[in-house]
This record gives sequence, C-alpha cells and structure tokens, in this order.
Amino acid sequence: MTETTICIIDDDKIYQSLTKKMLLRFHENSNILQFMNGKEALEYFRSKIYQNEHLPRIVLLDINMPVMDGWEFLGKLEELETDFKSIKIHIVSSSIAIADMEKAKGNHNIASYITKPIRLDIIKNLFS
Amino acid sequence: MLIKGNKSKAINSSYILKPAITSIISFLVLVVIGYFIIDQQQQLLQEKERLEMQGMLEVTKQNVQQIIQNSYTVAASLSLIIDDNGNYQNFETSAERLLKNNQNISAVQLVPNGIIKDTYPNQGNEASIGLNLFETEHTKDEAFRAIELREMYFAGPLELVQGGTAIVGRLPIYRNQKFWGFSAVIINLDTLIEESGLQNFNNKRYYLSLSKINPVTFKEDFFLKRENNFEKAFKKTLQIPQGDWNIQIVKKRANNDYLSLYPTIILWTVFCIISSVFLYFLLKKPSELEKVIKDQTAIIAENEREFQAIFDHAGLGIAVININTRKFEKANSHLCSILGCSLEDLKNESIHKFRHPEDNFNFENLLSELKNGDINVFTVTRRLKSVQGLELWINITVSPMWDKDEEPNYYVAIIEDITEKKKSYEQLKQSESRFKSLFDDSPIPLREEDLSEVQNELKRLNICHLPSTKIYRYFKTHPEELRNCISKIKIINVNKETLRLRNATNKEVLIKNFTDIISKNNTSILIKQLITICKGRTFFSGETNIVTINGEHKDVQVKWYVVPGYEGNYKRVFVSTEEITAQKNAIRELRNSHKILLERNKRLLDFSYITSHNLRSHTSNIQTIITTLDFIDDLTERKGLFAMLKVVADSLDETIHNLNEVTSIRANINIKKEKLNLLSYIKKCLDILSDKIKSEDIRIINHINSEEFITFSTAYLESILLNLVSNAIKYRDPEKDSYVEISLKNYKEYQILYVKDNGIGIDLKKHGDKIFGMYKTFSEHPEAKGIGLFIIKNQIEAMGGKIEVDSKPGEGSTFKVYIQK
Repeated sequence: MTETTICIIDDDKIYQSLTKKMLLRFHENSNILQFMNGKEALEYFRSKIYQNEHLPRIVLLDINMPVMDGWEFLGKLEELETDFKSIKIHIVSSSIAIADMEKAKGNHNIASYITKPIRLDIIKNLFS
Repeated sequence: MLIKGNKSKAINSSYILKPAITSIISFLVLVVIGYFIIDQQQQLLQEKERLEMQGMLEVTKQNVQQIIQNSYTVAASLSLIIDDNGNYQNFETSAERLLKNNQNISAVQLVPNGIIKDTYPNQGNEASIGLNLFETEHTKDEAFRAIELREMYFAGPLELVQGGTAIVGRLPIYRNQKFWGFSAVIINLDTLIEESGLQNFNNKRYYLSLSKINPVTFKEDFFLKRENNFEKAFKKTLQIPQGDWNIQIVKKRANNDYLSLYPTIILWTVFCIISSVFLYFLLKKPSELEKVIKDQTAIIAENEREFQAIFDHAGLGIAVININTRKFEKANSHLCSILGCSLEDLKNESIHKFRHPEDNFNFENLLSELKNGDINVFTVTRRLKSVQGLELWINITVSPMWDKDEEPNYYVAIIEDITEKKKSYEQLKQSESRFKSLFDDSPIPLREEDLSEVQNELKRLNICHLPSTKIYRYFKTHPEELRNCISKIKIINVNKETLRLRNATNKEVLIKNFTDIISKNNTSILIKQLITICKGRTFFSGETNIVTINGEHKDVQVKWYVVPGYEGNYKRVFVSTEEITAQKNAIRELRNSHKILLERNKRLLDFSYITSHNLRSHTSNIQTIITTLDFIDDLTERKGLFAMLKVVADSLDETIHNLNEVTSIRANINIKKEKLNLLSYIKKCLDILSDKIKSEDIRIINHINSEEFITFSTAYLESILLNLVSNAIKYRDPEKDSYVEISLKNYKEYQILYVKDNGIGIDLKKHGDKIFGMYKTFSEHPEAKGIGLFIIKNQIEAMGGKIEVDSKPGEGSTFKVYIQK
C-alpha cells in the first residue's frame, strides 16, 4: 500500500486526533498532516507548490476557524493556481446550514461536503 | 281669434306691363295726330301758294293782254298810214311816234304781201328787209294763221334774223276787201316777260316756263327753262290765245316740300318719344307703388299668419284682458291648456276666477301704475289656481294695448307656466344646499380650485409635449417656474375640514396664503400634479406631506378630479386632501416593527445556527469518540479517549452556559432600564482593569464628564464597558504607545458611546460580518474566545440599541454603541 498524504485542517484538537485514529485504522500507510486553521495549512501548501512537490491527496477542511477559515483558504489555494486534479478536498463541518452546503456544491474544486460526526464508512470511502 | 287674416293676392305682372303698353299707344296716337296736323298745314300752305300763283297769273294775264292790246293798237295805228290803194307814206315818222308812246314794243314793221318792207327802227333790223314770210319755212305757218284768224296773231318767240329772241305780232291788213299785208310789232321776249310781270315769278320759289302749241304739229314747244320733272311739277298755266302760248309757273322744289318737314317730323317724333317715356314713368310710379303695396300686404298677411300661429301655438299663454272688468277679451289655446279649461270657458270669464288663495301679490298697484303710464310693461311671478284646483306658478308679462293719449282699455298678458321650472328650481336649491352642506360639513377636507391659469402657464412654458420624466426634470431644475405655476392656482372655496386640516382660522387667510403654504409641500407631488394637467388627465391621486399654516406637518392623500364639463379648461376642480397622518404613522410603525422583527428573526436564525453549530461540534466529537471506542481495544488508547470525552463534556457545558447567558439576555427583553451616570460606571470598569492598564502602560483618555447620563441596564453597561475596554487592551499594538479613548455624543433620539483604540485593528473586509458572531476569533491571541462581543451585542440590542465598528488593520478600532434615549 502506497503512502497517502492526508491533510486535516480544523481548530478542534479532539476532532483532529479522533479523525487521525480513524484514518489510520483504514489506511495504516497514511501520512496525516494537521493544521489548526487555514493560514497554517496554506503556508504548507504554498511551500509544497513552490518546491513543486506532491500535494496531499486528501484534504479534510473545516469551515469555521479563527484567523483563516475554510473558504478563505480555498480562495487562496485557487490564487496559487493549484492543480486541483491531484487533490480531493472534502469539507468537514458541524454546520448543517444549507447556505454552507450550497456554497460547497457550487465550488467544483470541492469533492464532497461531510457533516460531522464523520462516520467510519465515509472514512472508508475516502480511499476508494 | 284675435285677428282675422286677409288672403294675400298673388302679385300680377300686368301691373308692370300696363304702363309700357299705355305709353306705346299714346306714342302712336301722338305721332298720327302730329302727322295729320303737319299734312293739313302742308295742304293749307299749298293752297295758299296756288292762290298766290293764281293771283299772280291773273295780274300777268292782264299785263300780257295789255301788251297785246297795245301791240294791236300800235299795229292798227301803223296800218292807218296805208291808204286804200295800198300805198303808204311817212312810215318812219309814224313808227317813231308809235314806238315813243309804246316803250315795250321794240320795233314795228310793215309787211305788204308778206314781204318785210319797212322796219322801224331800221338800225339792226336791216337783215329782215325783203324777207318773204310766206316763203320762209319758220314764218309761213304763223303768217297764214294770222290771215286765217283775221286778227293779230303773235308768232314766236323766234330767233330774229336781225338777232335776239322776240315775238312778232302780225295784224293782217285788208284794203278794199283785199289782203294787203301785215302790220307787225316786234316785242323783245325779255321785254315781254319783264312787262308782263312774269319776271316776278322767276325767283327762288318758282320757275317760269313758256310753251307754244305748234300750229302745225299741235305739240307743245318750250321756249323757257324747262325743268326735268316739269310735268309732275306743281304748276299753273296761263293760256294766251293770241299766240297759242302757255305760260306756266312751276313751284320750285315741289318734290322736296316734304323734306322741309323732316325736322318738324323728327322733332315731333322726339317729342312723342319723350312724352311717352315720361308717361311710362308717370304710369309706372303708381304701379310700382301698387306692387309695393301688394308686397307689403303679402308680408303683412304673412306676419299676420305668423302672429296668428304664434298666438295660437306659442308655448306661452297669451290673453287680451279688459283692464277694468278683468274679463278675457281674447285668449289662445295654450292659455286654456295652462288653466285647464276650454276657450269657451274663458268667454266672459274674469281672471280673478283663477286667483290662488295664497297669492297675495299686489298686482293691482302695478296695473294702476300701468294705467297711469308710470310703467310700460312689467313681469311678475304669481300663483294661480287651475280650473281643477291645481297650484300653478306663472310668469306674467303685462303690457298695455292703448296708445298714450287713449283711455286705458285692454292689456296683453303673456303667461308662462313655470310650475315645473319652479319645482326643479326648488329641487335644485335643495340639492344645492344639500351639496353645500355636504361640502362644508364633509369630514374630508375639500376645496374647489380653478386651475385654468395653471394650464395656461403650462401652455406658455410649452413643455407639455415632452415625456413626463422630462417635464419632471424641467421643474426640478426650474423651481422658479414651478412656484410661478403654483401661484396661478385659484382657490374658489374650501370647506371647514380644510380649515381644520391647515389649522387656519378663516377661509380668507388660508386662500390668501395658499401659495406659500403649498410651496412648502413636497415638490415631487406638485410636479406630478402639473404633469397630470399637462397630459390633460382629469384625475389625480397621490400622497404627500403638507405643512399647516402654523408649521405643523401632516400626511395627506391628495385626490382631485375635474368637474364634468370643465375637462378642457380645468376651471373647476374638486380637491380632497384626506389626512392620513395616523395611517402613515401606523404604516411607519408597522414597517419599523417589521424591520425589528426581521432583525430579531435574523438574530434568532443566527442564534439557532450558532447553537446548532456549537453544540453539534461537541456532540459529533462525542459520537466519534464512542465510534472509535468500538474498534480500539488498546487500554491506554481507550483511557485517552475517555479523557477526551471529559474535555468534550466540559466544553459542551461551557458552551451551554454561554448560550444560556445569551438566551437569558434575549429572553429578558424587558429588563429594567435605569438612568445611569456614565462616568461612575466607566470609573468602576477602569478600576477593575487597573492592574492590566498599569502593567501594559495603557493611556486612558476619558471625555465623559459627570453630567452624562444614559438609560440602560446596570449589569449590561458594566459588561459592555468591561468587554470593550478589555478588548482594546487585549488587542493592543505592542509597537505603539497604546491608548483607549472613551467619548459620548448626544443626538436627538439616541446617544453614541465611542471606545477607540490604536491597537492591531481588524480586517473588516474579511471579518466584518462575523465580528460580533459567537465563537468567532480572528487572531491567534490565546485568550480569544469569540464570545465577549457576541454577548455585548445581544445586550446592546436588548436595550434597543446597536453596535458598530470602524477599524483598519494596524491602525486601531472604534466601537460605536448606539444607546436609545
């Protein structure tokens, strides 16, 4: 099994560790990156792009975060002319607001919108 | 019937022809008479001439006879010298003596045996000596004739051998019973004519002609002036047998006599023409007059018929009434129909019969004035009673029929039935008064306006053809024209309610100041009304705000319509200005409430969203932990998960606590408000934060004085001040000399509390909508929880205010708290 780089961007530390546990259960060979907000994650992505290295294959992105939220992060990523084909970005939010879901649907760079709590079968599907 | 009409005669054209015929006849008669008289005159003249000629001829005849006689005497005397033997002596002596005594005889001859022997005077007559008369052709006939007649016979006139024209009288002489010869006298023809007096005829008027019957041929030979038309000429003949002469006197110009009459005839004809024409005109005049009379008669007859028709069929009752007895002399059928009776009924009836018992009009006074000649005519309205007893209202016009100097006898009464009119008038008056009271006492402010001048003014501006939007813009940019148009509004009337609406005491003041009052109105609605007039529409409706005479503002609904019949000129327009201030206020309040509700709804939505979001983040963690526990068997890991569960539970508890706090703020809308001294609360706040202020070296700039008061909840004010000031300290810029500035501004309905700092600031472009949200943090500050601003926002809103922020990253922030008064 090849190593898959998975990126978790969320300000909830508990969620981060729990998700990491679940990801590792289904895909042991995962390289899991954790960021507290969009700004931290963006810095990582930017360096990767500048160095022309592989970007994480899967991104689990929260919307509501301090400093830089999910939407801003996505916007910045688009500005960096990121090749979205190689990455799958999933919005993972506790928000059940329709507005958020609609916004996610309207953005073709977003693979899916996942409502917390994230279930095992969804984690499983991420790798298929 | 009052007047009997005569049948008018047809106008006869013979009246025009007659004078012509008459004058032509008279002309002919005059001409005939004239010509007859002229003819008679002419004949008289001719007769006179004839007589004159006759007389003259008689004289001539005698003269001729005298000459013949003398000739005879001379010849006889001369013959005396001849003796019985036929010899003679002393011829010359005797002849000389004889010629001396008879001057008219030019010569004497003795012609024995027809041979001229001696002639005296011999001188000039020599040529004839020796001439044998019986052998000479032109003398022998006459010579024989003398012998035949045995008396003196005159031969000639003939051309003498010795020269000249003369007659020769030859007396045959017998001696001894035997023919001897002739004793002859020669008379010069000229002398004969002269002596006979024939000369007298030979003048302008007459011709003289001398002819002789040829003794051989018996033809008439003319010797003197023979005219061409001699035979036809008017002539007189004198026969002289001694010479077989005819002496004729012929009137000259016998044929031209009538020519001399031409001027007379012409003159007469002219006279006839003139007199006939004169006669024609003379005759024509009466016939013209007659025609005029005929025409006039026809017109009169026509007028009479018309009058009769008017009298009979006029929509008016007409009667001739005796002024003394008041009896009807004459009346028309319409009057009867008014009075409800027949013509027969009115005969010998007095007008008093139709008197209405309640009619106390003093008619008699007017009649006596009419009698006296003080008035000529009068018209009054009276009440009568019909035969059926119905009340009749009439207009009666009375005029006299007598002349000025006549005794008053009859008067003409023209009676108009105005009962229906009177009724309608009464109804009209009623409806008018009803309308007036409706207008005056209407609960809606009404006024009547004349907008015709406004319309004229608009026409003058020549903008009506423009689209409405352009007219609107025109007036917006030309306020002076707008004012001018408005000044042309003429108020005809206003009702009481209008006065009340405008707070005016009387109509005059309001009407006088109307332009000023109206000018303070919202210009948009004034322009819209002008556009309505411009476009010829007759109805307007709109809402506006008006200013009363004493400056009060009121909301009104203006509606107007043009009174039917005045659509073209806007001379009468009814305007209602219903006050809708209450409705407007209600609507405003409703809108306000709606806005508040919307806001509240939004807040609730926010809240529910926040609630769900914040709660769900915890619950989802719990669910995940439980799911994870299912597949993790490692004890240490499970312990970690349980520890995690505890943290989540604590967070959940905190969140619920916070939400509860907010909910309580929201639930507690009617929290007690107090009048609070702002300065004391600021001091309290600064006291709490004094350690921090000191340690961080924050400068506090306080503009609040002890006189400032706000109406607020104590707890909330404390919370708000603490939050804002601590935030200012918390997000200070370490690079700067930090300060916090607190101030208050007073407005009419609210106050604003400013809390300003020169801290790090917030990027409002990014976070503007989230800054007052729950759990929204924008910095990496460890103490940022994202709950403080959310709570104070709720507190401020619960107090009826709002909170805003101005901020720029790196420059600082200013929080503005709006506080309701």
